[in-house]
Amino acid sequence: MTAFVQQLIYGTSYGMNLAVAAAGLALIFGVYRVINLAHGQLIMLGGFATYVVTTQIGTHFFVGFFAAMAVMGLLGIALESTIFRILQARPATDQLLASLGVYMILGTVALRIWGDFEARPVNMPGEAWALHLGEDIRIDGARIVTIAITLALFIGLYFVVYRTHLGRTMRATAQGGETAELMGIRKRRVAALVFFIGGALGGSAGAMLGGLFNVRPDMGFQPLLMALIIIIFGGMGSLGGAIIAGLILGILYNLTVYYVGSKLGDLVPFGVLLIVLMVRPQGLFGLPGRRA
Amino acid sequence: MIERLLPSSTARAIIGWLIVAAILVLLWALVGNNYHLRLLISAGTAMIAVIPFGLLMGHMGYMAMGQGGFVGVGAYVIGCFTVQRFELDFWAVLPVSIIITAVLAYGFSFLLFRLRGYHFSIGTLALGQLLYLAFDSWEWVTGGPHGTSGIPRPAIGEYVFGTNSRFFILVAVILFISAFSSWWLARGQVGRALSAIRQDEDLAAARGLNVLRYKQFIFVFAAVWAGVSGALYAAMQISIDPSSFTIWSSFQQVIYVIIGGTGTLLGPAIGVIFITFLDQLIADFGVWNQLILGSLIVITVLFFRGGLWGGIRMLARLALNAVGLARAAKAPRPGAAE
Repeated sequence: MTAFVQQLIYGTSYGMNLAVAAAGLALIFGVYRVINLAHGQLIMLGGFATYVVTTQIGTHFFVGFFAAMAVMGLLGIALESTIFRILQARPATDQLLASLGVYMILGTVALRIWGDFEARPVNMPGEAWALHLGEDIRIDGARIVTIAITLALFIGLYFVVYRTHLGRTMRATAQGGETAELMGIRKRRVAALVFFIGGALGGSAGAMLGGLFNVRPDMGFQPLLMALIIIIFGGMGSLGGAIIAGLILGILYNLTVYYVGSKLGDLVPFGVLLIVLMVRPQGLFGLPGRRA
Repeated sequence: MIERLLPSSTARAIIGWLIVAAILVLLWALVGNNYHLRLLISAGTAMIAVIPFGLLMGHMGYMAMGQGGFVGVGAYVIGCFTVQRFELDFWAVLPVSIIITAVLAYGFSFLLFRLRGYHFSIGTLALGQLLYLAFDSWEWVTGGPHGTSGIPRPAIGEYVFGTNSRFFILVAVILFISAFSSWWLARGQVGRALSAIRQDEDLAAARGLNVLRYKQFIFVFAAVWAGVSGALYAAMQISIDPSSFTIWSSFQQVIYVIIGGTGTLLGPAIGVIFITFLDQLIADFGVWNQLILGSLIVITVLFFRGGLWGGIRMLARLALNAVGLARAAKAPRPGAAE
């Protein structure tokens, strides 16, 4: 029982982390209708940005965290204005391929700089202490900090999307780009905003994953795969769906790793995906009949 | 006038396939260098999988991102039945390998074809990763992370395909069958069905085409050839391990098709040749070669959607235009919008 509670909380922190990464993908897909495979490398580069600012320069974790968000947000805007703008009108295959190309380019750059695969730690607040519940439940402070950060991010995201004018323009664009443009919404500005937020969410996920584990040049692939599965599971483009799906996946993953073994834990996301595809291809919150 | 001089489409096809056969024979006869022969063998093995995959990705427009998994299944079935568990003959195992990949692909196709577009690609990506994890962890069959080694070279009677020169014959014959069967499918009713699916699937279904059957058929077809390619890969490498069948190997097939030219049969083959030799050229750059390949993909997708083969055709058309033979150059594609 004690181990179960501990794994539940660890799974929650991992799942929330994945949900942050997936929310960035879901937002970009929901508003802009593009799947950005390079998102995985934004997560990885976010980790390295945090590493450089926090560990190498030697500042507080949150300085690195916000630096990662800002830099990855700007990188998102740069990708939008050079590549995804052209891709938006193209078929799905073109979008996936070109973003795969970007994935390779960014990955190479990171390998070139940090390719020795040394363990690169990022100090996170809360690593020094742990929460003791009852007799032998011990929960790392860093996990609790992660959960707190992700909660803050989701509240912030909710506020931006549903309570501000900018958010309204984004939702209008998601519902119908052309109509929104006719209503005087500037398409380019919405696009830049969406990619900034998406990139920043990816960067913050990377910062937290870097804090919990280590920063490595190949750390983007696993979260990318999980995020892709999460947005299918949650329903393409649905932010709430992404959060709930991320939580379910993270908790299931941790419980399986703990009780069955790490190899089977890796199979969990795919098992979930297969069941979702069989039972509800449109995802938890997707509209029925809108599969493609 | 000039059109009269061009042979009919059947005659052109026969000439084309004779040229392909002649090229294969010439390559076998002329390339003496073992290293170059080895490159040709691995390019040929890749082509066996990539040309049929081009039908799925290019003609039908369903970009599967997990083909490397099927290559792995083909390879590991050979590994398991010839060394790991049963020590049977390669030729006895090859049909087993084909049947297992076909059954696996057919089973998963029911799930995967509930999806379209992005969803399909992500679903196949997950399938590829799932198969990779199976190779890595199911030690009884695959030998786990260390893989299987000591796979025998196939033999017919006394004739063992042991040297590179002999193995090339095997690869060339199977490549010819793979390419020919893909061409045969693409030119007839199946090809028309595939392009109908690519252009407007719902319309095709509404007009009475059994869309799911065709999609499943092509998916299984591509998977079986991927499995055969894997079987040959296993026999060529002698030892196999999971690192050859990662998601990256699946991406590579997609890259071959897009760089070579989607929606054509020659395109994927040209892509394989081009990237095999590009790999040799840029091998000295170490990690940078991924950057070169990645940039190439982005540029191709954004600006040259026809890929290399599209570029070659465009140049040929320009050249023919220059000497006033434009109509003849257009003739092979009557339906194309000019």
